[in-house]
Amino acid sequence: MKEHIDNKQVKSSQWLAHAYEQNPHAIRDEPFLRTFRKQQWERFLQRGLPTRREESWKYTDFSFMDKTVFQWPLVNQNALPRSVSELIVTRARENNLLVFINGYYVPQYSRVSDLAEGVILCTLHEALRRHTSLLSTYLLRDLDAKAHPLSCLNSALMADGIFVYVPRSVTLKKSLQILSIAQGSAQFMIQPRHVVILENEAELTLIDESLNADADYYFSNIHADFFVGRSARLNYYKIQNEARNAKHAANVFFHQKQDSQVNACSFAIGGQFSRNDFTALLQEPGAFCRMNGFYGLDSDGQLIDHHLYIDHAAPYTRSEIDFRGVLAGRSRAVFNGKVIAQPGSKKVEALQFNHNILLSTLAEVNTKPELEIYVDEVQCRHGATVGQLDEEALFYLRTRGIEPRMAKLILLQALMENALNQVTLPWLVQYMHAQWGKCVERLG
Amino acid sequence: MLQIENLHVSVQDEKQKVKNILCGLNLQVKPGEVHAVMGPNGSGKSTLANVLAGRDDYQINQGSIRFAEDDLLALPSEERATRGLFLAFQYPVEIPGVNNTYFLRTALNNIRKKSGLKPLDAVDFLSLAKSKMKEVGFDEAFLNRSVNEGFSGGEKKRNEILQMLMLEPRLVILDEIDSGLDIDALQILARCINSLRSASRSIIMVTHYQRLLNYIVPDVIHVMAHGKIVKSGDSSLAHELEEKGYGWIE
Repeated sequence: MKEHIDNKQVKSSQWLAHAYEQNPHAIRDEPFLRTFRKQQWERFLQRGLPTRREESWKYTDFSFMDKTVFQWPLVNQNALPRSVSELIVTRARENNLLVFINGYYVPQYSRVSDLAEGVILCTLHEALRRHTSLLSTYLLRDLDAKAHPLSCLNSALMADGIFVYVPRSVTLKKSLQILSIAQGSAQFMIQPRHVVILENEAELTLIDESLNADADYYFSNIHADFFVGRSARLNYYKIQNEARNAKHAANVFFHQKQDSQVNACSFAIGGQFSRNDFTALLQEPGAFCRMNGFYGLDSDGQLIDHHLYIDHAAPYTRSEIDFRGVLAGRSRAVFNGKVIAQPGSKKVEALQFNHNILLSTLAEVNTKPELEIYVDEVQCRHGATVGQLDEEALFYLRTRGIEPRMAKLILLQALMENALNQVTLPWLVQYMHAQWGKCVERLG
Repeated sequence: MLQIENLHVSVQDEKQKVKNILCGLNLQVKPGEVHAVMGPNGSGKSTLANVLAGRDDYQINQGSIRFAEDDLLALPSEERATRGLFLAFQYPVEIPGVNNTYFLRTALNNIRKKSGLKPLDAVDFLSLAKSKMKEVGFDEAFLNRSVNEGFSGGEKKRNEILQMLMLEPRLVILDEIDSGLDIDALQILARCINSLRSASRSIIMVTHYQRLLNYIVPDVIHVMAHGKIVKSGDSSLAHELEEKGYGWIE
């Protein structure tokens, strides 16, 4: 693997300060946004980058920020590789599609049609101009810098992203996809920012995919907020399929009202370093959040970290977490699920599972399901396992004439099914099969 | 079809202690014959079935097994299967995430390929699978489920027999196929197994109970004890066992 460490140490605060001053996405900022950025920037500076001395960053080392200067990318004029441009065409057929290359919106690749009345679906930049007051209520929210330093950084540096507003009782027939493509050889960073609002009883399926075209070493730092109204339903599928050497961070928040349902899936199979923080705030009774995930690590030095946080702040709220992963080579996965049943929340139901398969003795998993319970009437179960591929299953397949390598590939493919079972889009299931299939081929 | 000579097999237990399970077993099965291997618990019946299928938890210390023209012990499990050996497991394993249809089609097409046949396409495969499912009394919904996942004991056994019907092996080994089956299911599966009886196919039924033999009448019955066959005879031997139990053998 290529090492991208500059000879001299650089201070992240210095180059980030420069990035903050020179942000091409902030040129047309209204004063209110400028104030917000500044405030968040100061918070970030005060807090600093997370260090491995902190419990929730113990295995996830952000010191690469002190070794590399990531620049704002230029608007890339180069043609996309054919595989990617073909992908865009097929996606545009299936979904409403917003394409970003290196953080810049690309209208000629994007397609939006068939929107019901009152639905807003546009870029964050456009929303800042045309839906200022609606957006700013949701965009300018307070963030806990201690727990989410990368979110503060994103708030200070935020580039473009999407803004979605689905009015009451409206179901978006077509699913919506954000396709965030990395392109070019420079060491650059992307700071996407998304705001999605579902009014009461609204429904939306959203795919957020980070995909590499021909880039190598870059830093992508996503922040997304989903405000899910009463009895509203959201399917959210996140795909992290970054370049071999890319760094990826994402903070995703679900703010859930009464009886709302969120079905979130995280597929992480790329990148060299990736950290996903998913937070569900179950603020009102009956809110339900399901988080499923699959991570597949197939190369030396790869790290995939999921930190999930579920806050049961109201009675009758439910959550189900099930994450599974496969690790090969000298890779490391981190899983931390924290479920909190707040005082006054009673009748909470929370399930949390994490299963890992190690294909190599050098791979490492750090898994930690946590429950914090402050009420009596709760039903919680959690469990974590780390093991090898099932020898019995391998033998069974072999006795049916299936060769050992094929049998292994079949079982490796199967490990993703649990997460895929929650995906409602057939094309996405197929796509993930193919994507993971490519990794599995290398492992077999 | 199958010729086992002086087979000695041992296994290492958790305490690394070597335990001899098969101690000089001899068995000859000719094409077209149905053999029942009976015996008390711990006599080595299931070990015999598993050794034939190629499970590698066992140490083969002595002896030989010929399967048609091949030296069976030299072949890995998958080769044994592609050459026509099939084991219906006593406890079929659950494989979450592996679709039953996909599994069956992969297995069948692999075996067809080895026999120089063209693979079945999705349409032909499905119509074949559906007709065989009808025979074993399986709802079509089972095709879309994961292999054995959440199946009842009886459903798992039906799935084994379904695979047997699909793969059309030359040598079928049934390991306690009747355990956990109610009488209706047993009759259905016995009908399926009987339908496969032919001059070119052999069947070995490993069973503790005589009940199965009322539905599938074997040509030869063997009684195992202490790792070898201690008595062989025709189906009247089953009735003798029924009356006297296994005690008199030992």
